[in-house]
Parts: sequence; structure tokens; C-alpha cells
Amino acid sequence: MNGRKVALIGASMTRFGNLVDMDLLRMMVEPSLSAIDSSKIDPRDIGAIFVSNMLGDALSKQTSLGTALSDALGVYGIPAERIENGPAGASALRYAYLSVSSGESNMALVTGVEKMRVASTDVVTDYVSSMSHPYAEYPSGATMPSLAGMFARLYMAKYGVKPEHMGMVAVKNHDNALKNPYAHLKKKITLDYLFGPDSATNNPFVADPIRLYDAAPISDGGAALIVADLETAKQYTDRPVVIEGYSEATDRLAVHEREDPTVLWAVKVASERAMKMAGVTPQDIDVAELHDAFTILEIAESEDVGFFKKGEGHLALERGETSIGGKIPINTSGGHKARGHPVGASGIAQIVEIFWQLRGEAYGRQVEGAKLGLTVNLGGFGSNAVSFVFRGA
Amino acid sequence: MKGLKCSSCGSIYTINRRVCPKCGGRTFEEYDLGDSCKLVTYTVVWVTPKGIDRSPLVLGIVEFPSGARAFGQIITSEPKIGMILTPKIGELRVSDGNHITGYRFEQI
Repeated sequence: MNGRKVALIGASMTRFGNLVDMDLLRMMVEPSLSAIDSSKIDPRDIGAIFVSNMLGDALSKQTSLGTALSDALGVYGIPAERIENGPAGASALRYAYLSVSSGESNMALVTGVEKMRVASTDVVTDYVSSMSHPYAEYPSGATMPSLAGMFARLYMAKYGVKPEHMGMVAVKNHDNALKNPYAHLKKKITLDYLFGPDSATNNPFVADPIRLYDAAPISDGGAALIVADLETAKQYTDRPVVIEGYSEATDRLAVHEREDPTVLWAVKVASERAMKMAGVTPQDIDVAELHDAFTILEIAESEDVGFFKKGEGHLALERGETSIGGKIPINTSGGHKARGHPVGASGIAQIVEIFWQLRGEAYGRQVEGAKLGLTVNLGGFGSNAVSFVFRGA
Repeated sequence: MKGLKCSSCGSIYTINRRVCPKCGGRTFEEYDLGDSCKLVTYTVVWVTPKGIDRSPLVLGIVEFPSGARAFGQIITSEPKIGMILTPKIGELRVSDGNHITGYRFEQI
């Protein structure tokens, strides 16, 4: 890639959860202002705005969110757009990267937002299911949990993964979320709570083998990043977080058409290319945020990005290698699973967490000495993946 | 059940496509997938989507002898990986008031 080096200089997010007192616009404005103020930039220096959002029109009757945010911030005369890529909100950062790297702008604002709790679970689930194949999946009743159910069963049959391994992801990510003031689910859980005598009440099946605690919650929330070329970035901070590599890749939309449906090929390709661009290997990464909309996805992605051999992610998890203090801590924020999953905002929240980690600001859950971070954000059930590699100063 | 065979490279699809993802070909001929397929994986859905009132709903991926796979509703009370199923047309769901029909896969 030619072009200028690009860095993050500010990051912020709302608390994720049931934010009844915030409408969609305010949910964009608050984290944007907070990112602007914490990076000490003049909002009038923002040269482009990219808003990641999936369901604004469906659930809040609001579109043109880029323009709306530009107006709300009083910043006019610049490009401002909404990016809809399912839950793959990180693709909004890709646009900002391209804008800044090419010289179109010197500074860009990336804001992810989603207000989901305004509608009932079946309405939200139906809209989210519309990401599935319109001929081959949706008409038969595919939902994201049911695609995860089929994926998990195949995984269990092929690699010996047990429901308890998926539970271990949930327990770990809930533990991490307890240390994250912005997290949606603040509840300590144990394997006994999930699989013990009261499991039918505590942790009922949604799409067997997927249980309630294998799925991310439906959340409201917003998250924002300030992006600048490295020269500009250095005028504002001596600790910029540099974007060293990125890539986005698509795969077959319908899960059954994938050659090996247990391989998240888009994740593999996007992550390989992002790390190649950064000149690093999976073993160099110190901390990662992976797309755990379902617990099985964290296990699969930890393999497909190259941290572990295919089929061995659950063993590394069992050994504690993905916990804080382990070899490669994954989802220190609590992940989508427990930090929460407002679909358009969660990909940006992953990057906010890595920003904090690489600046030593992830208080209470800091990975000591973290210098290199990786994020993986999915659209659909792995039909689109966006990976980024970041380096701290 | 009918599928499509790419006239250029011979790839077989259960999804109606205009372009062959494998070779880029744009001409297809109808292909007889056969009347039996094997269950590759499945899920038992307790929280069923809007427009489907059967609970639980079994959904799965099936594979035909040609290797082509399809996704759909599995009509059985005892799903098992490897079981043999047959495609039959039935009602799939109600969507925006429309009754959608299509192939489902039934236990023989």
C-alpha cells in the first residue's frame, strides 16, 4: 500500500446496554464529542466523517447518519457517510484510513452506533437475519443463532469441542467485562451456573447446541475514533496508535456453500493480509479483540487468525492462554459476549479497547507491555471480515 | 430436487445463480440433484423466527451425492448427522403476510 501512515489519536465509547435515555443521534454525538475532547482536536479540523450503522432506518426511522452527525457537530463542507456492512462496523475505519492515507483529509471521525433495544427481540432477530442468503437461508428460517448452532455442531463433531468449551469463553469474557466500566453485562458466571443442575433455567437452549450464554446480548451503544495521518497525529499526542495493517475480505454468503464450513475463510484471508502489511506474524500479537457474537466464533477465529492450529483453539482456551495474563489475551473488553453487541458500534468498540490497551489505559484489565493489537470484525455469519493490526508507541 | 450445473466447469449449485463463483461462467443447465441427501449438520431451534410457529424447528445442511449442499428445514423428531433425507416441497414460513413454499428435507 502506498500512502501516508495513519494513526488513531482519540477513542471513546458510551456505556453499552439498555440506553433508554439516548436516541440514535445522541448515541453518535456523545462518544464523538468525548473522542474529540480527549484528543484535544478542534472539530473543525475533521475532514471526513464515517458512521457505521446497520439498523438506523429499520428501528429508528433515521438514515443519512453521516450528514446528521456532521450537522450535530457543527462541521460542514466535508464528506460524511454511513457505512452499512452488517455488524462489520470496522469497515468504517477502512474508509477513514483510505481518506487520510490518500491525502483526501488529514483527520477523520469514525463513529459506530446502534440502538436496538427499542424493538422486541423477534423483530431485531428478523432484521439481523436479513444478512443471510435471501434465496438459500432466510426463507427456511435461518437466524444468526441457528447458523451458529449448525456451525458449533460441526465443530464439535470434527474437533472434539464440548459445550463446556463454549461456556469457558462466556465465563472468561464475563470476567473481563466485570473490569470494564463500559460493558453491558456485569455478571459473574461459572461453568456450574451454565451447565449445573439449574442449566435449563439459567442457560436454556436457543439453537441447540447454542445456549443463551453462548450468544451476545442485544445492546444499545456508540463508539468513536479520531484518525489522523501520522505527522498530524504527532502534533496532538506522543502516544499515537498506528494502523500498521488492515484488510477486508468476503466469502460465500451461504454457509453451506463454503468448502469447509468450519473455516472462516474471510477471517483467514483478511487477517493474513493485515499482518503481512504490518510485517508481523500471529505470534507477535500481544492482545486481540475477536468477533464473539457467539462463543464458538471466538474459538474458530483464534485458529483462523493463526494464533492456534485449526481444531486446537479450545485446548488453548482450556489452558488459560486467552485469558488476561495468558499468552494471547482475547477480548479483554468482555467481547461482544459481555461488553455488548450494538451491531454497528461493536466493531468500533473492539478498536477502542485495543487503543486503550496499547496506550496502557485499560485500567484493571491491562495486558502488561502490550505493543501490538489485532481486531477481527465480522459481517453476516463470517461472509465478510475486517481485520486491523495496530501498534502502540 | 433440481439444481444448476455450470455449462463451463460442471460445478453444481442448489442456489439459483447468474454467475458461477468457481469459473465465472454464465450459462447453466438444469441438474437433477436426486431424491436423497445426507444430513451434514443441524441445530434444534427453540427460539423460532417470526413467521414460523413450529417449535422446536430443526434446521440443517444436507449434502447430495454430487457433493452439492443445501440448507433447509429438517422434518424429523430425531436429527442425526449422516441420516438420509429426501427433499419435498412444503410451506417454509410466512413473511410479510406471504406464504413461502420451498424444499424441506424429510426423514425417509
